[in-house]
Amino acid sequence: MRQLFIAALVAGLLSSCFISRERSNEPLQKSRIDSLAIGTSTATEVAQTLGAPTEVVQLGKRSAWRYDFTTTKTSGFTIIIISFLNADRRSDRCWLFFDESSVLRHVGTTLDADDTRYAMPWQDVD
Amino acid sequence: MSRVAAILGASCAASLASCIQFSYHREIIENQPAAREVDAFAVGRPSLSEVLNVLGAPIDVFEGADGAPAVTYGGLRSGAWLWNFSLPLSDYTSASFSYTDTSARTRGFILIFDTNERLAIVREGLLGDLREEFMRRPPASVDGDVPGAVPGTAEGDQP
Repeated sequence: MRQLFIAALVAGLLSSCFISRERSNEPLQKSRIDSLAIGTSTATEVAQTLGAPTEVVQLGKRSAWRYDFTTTKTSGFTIIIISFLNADRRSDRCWLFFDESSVLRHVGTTLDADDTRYAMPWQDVD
Repeated sequence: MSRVAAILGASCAASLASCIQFSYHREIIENQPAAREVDAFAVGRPSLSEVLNVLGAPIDVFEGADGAPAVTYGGLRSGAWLWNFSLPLSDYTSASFSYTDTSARTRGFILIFDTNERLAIVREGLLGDLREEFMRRPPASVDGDVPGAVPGTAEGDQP
């Protein structure tokens, strides 16, 4: 009888656990970014290599383009009316800065999307 | 009597479970750069390229004064208890209300460059406030000075 109760309790708790993953845009390919040459590549060549940017920012006569890929992993569980949730969101980002002639001048890249983790709220994921 | 109380209690619990929810929600967004890395830029006025090489891609770029670039780095680590109450009013609608006891806002650094793309200002704080402080304001519209005014006309131009 006791085993049946424990089994029912475990089954009830397990049924309320969940995980989900949300992805935005396509993963950035470092090899393609590295193929761009600062001081030589033009905005047209960048668009041909990386595709359309997610965002374009005007900086006076200059501009900056953003490419990103974001992953969000959410996990948690619910016990009757109390839920515990953890959402971890990190991204691959690349900002490309162009001068007045639309020539690539600066590139900043961060590839953190793979560091996203499923975890419970009390777990250390840094 | 105890059976009636048990049935009533079970009914209340079942009703509450469908109306009210408590949750603890932890949110992790991006990684904030180490303060020591940013503090190292205080000396020497590095270029935009040097900053990008050390800190990577910023989370935001916008136009500062004179069209110079401003970049922000930051991350969020927040945890908050939330509760949500939802009362079904009909088969298809419900009234709901939620309350958060802490508001999560992203802290980080803003780095302002001059027109030669050399670092000029470094500030730490809430990124929303910093962006509001340093973002270039669009020029005031002449048309906006007089509501309903038509360009090229003035009160003195009336025939």
